[in-house]
Amino acid sequence: MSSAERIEATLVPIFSVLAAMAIGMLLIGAIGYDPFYAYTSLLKGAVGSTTAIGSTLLRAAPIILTGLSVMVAFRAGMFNIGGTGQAIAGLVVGGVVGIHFAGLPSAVHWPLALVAAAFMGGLWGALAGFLKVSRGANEVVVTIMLNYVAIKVGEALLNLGGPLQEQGSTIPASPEFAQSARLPVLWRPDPFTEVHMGVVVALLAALVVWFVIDRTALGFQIRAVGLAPDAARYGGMSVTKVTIIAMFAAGALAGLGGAVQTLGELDRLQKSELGVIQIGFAGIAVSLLGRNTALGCVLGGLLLGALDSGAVGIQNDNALPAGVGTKLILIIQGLIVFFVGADLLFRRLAQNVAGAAGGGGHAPPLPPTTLAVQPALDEEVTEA
Amino acid sequence: MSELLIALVGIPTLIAMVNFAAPLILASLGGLFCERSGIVNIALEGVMTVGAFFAIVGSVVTGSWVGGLLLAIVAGVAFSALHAVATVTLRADQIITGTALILIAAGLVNFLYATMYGAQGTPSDVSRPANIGGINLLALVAFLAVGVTYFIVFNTPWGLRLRSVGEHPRAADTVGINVYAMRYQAVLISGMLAGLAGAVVSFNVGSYTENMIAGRGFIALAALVFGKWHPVGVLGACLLFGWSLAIETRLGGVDFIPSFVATSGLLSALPYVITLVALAGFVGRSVAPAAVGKPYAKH
Repeated sequence: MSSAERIEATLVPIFSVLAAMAIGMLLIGAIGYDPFYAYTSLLKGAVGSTTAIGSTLLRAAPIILTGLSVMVAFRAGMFNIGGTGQAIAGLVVGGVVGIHFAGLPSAVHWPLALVAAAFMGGLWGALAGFLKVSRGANEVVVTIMLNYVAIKVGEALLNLGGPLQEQGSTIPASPEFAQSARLPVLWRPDPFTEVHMGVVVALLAALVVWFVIDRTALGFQIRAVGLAPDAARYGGMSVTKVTIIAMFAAGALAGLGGAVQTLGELDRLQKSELGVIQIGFAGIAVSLLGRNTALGCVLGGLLLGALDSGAVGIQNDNALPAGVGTKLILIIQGLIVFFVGADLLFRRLAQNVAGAAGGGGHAPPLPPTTLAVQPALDEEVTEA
Repeated sequence: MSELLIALVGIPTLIAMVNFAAPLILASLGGLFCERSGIVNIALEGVMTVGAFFAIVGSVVTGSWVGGLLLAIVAGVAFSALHAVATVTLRADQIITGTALILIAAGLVNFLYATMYGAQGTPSDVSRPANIGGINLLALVAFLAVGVTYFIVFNTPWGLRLRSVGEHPRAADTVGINVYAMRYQAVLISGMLAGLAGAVVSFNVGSYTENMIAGRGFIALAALVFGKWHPVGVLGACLLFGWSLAIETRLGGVDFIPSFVATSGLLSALPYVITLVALAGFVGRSVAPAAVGKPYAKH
C-alpha cells in the first residue's frame, strides 16, 4: 500500500468514530441533556483517573479477544457473529474447570481453565464452520442460532436444580471458583478495581495471531482462502480444512475472551450474566475499526473499552438518566460499524486528506467497500 | 400419552403456534421481497425491535392500536431506509450494514425506552388488537400477506422486474429497469413488513421490554432459506418455528418428558436448534436469487 493509501485506511475509522460521537451528541441534546457534560463524564470515566484507566483495560481485554476472533474468521472469508455463543461455551467450561480441580497449584489451574475454555469455544466455532463447508449453511444465521443455543443451554445448566447449580443455594449460580483458578491480579489502582492477567493474555493473543496470520504457512493459507478460494483450491489447499481451522481458532479466541472476563472478575458462574454478554458484538466493532489487523484489534479494543468505561462515568455523574449511558454507547458502537462498513461515505474525504498529506496525487474511482465479505445465503459447495 | 399428544398438537398449542408464527411470517415475507431484489437484510431483527417499541408508543399516544400499527410501519420503513442507502447507494457490505443496524436499533430503541419510560415500563392498559377464537387479528393479516406476496411477486410486471434484478442486475439494467429504484422499494417494503411483525410481538404481550424480539428476526431469515424464498414455503417454515415456540412451556408435568427438560428452560433452545437443523439442509437444497449479496454498480 502506498503511504497515501495507508493514511487513507487509518482515516476512515477515525472519521467513523468522530461521526458516531457527533451523532451521539445530537441524541443527548435531543432528549434534553447536556452533551458536553455527558462527554466530559465519559472522558473522566474512561481515562480521568488511575481507576478509570484500570477499568478501561479490564473492559478492553475481553473485547480485544473477541475482536481477534472476528478478525481471524474475516481473514478466512467468514463472518463470525457467533462470538457471544463461543464466549459462553468457553466460559462455562472454563468455569467448571475452575470450580473443580481445586488441588492444583495456582500456576497451573488458571491456565488450564483458560485452555479448556479456548478449546470449548473453538469447538463451538468449528461447528459453525463445519455446517458451512459441508452443508452450505450460511454462517451468519448459523452462528446467531448457536449464540442463542449457548445462552439457553447455559441458563438451563445453571438454573435452580440444574447440574451446575450449587447444591443448597437459592440462587441460580454455580459454586465458587477455587482461589487458584482466578486470574492473578496485576495492579490495583483502587480497592475495588483489580486489573488482572487477562489483559496480558489479550495482548499475547494479539501477538500470536499477528504472527500466525502474517508469518506462517497456515496464516498464508487462511488469507488465500479468504481472498481467493478458487485460486487457493487450484493451488492445492483444502478450503474446507482451512475454513474449519480458522473457525476453530476464532471460536477459541472468543472462548478465551469469555473466560478472561469470568475468571478475572466474577466469583462464580451466574445464570443472570449469560443473557447480557455483549462482547461478541463488540468484537465485530473492534475488528472493523481495526481494519482486520491484530494491532488494530488491540487499539480498537482499547477505544471501545474506554467507551464502556466512560459509560460508567456518565452513570456516576448522573449526566444522563439511569441506564441510558450504556444504551448510548451501544448506539455509538453500532454507528461506528455502520460508518466503517459504508466507508464509501468517508473514503472520498479520507482520500482528499491523505492526498494532501501524502504529496498530492490523482484520486482513482472508488470501488465498493474494501471490507467485502458477502457470503451468499446459499453457496455452491464444490470440493473436489 | 394422550397428555403428550395434547401438549404437542392440541388446539391450544395450535392456536399458540399460529400466534407465534404471525410475526415470523411477516418478517420473513419482508426478507423475501428484499432478497428477491438481491439485498440481504439481516437487520430484520433490528427493524422488528423498532416496530415493537413504536407500536406501543403509538398506541399509547393515539389511544388506539391502529395508530400504534401505523407508527410501527412508518418507523420500520424509516429505519430500513438506512439499510437501503448504505447497501444500494453506498454499496456497503450488506452483512456488515445489517449487523450495524441491529446494534443501532437495540441501542436507539432501548435508549428511547429508558428515557421515556424509565424504570416503570410502558403503561399497562395499552390498546391492542382483538383475538378471534383465540387467534390474533394480526395473524390473519399475516396469512393474507402470504397470498398477496405470492400474487405480487409472481403475477405482476413489478414482481417480474423485482426477480430479474435479483437474478441478473446487469441484464435488467440493460433492458431499462432501474436497479437502484427496485432495490430501494424492496428494502423499504421489508421495513414495512418487519415493523409490522415487531408490532405483532409487542401487541401480543401488551408492552415493550428490552430483548423481547429474542432472535425472531433471525429465525425469520432462516425460514426464508428453509422456504426456498417462496411465500408458501415461508409459511410452512414459520408455522414449524411457531410450533417450536409454542410447545416451550407446555411440556411440564407430561409423561415421557423428564422434568429437568420441561422446567429448566432447555426447551427454549428448541426453536434455535430446529432452525439449525433446517439450515443444515436436511430438507433439501435451496437456491438463493443468483445476485443476492453483491452490490451493484451501474457503469
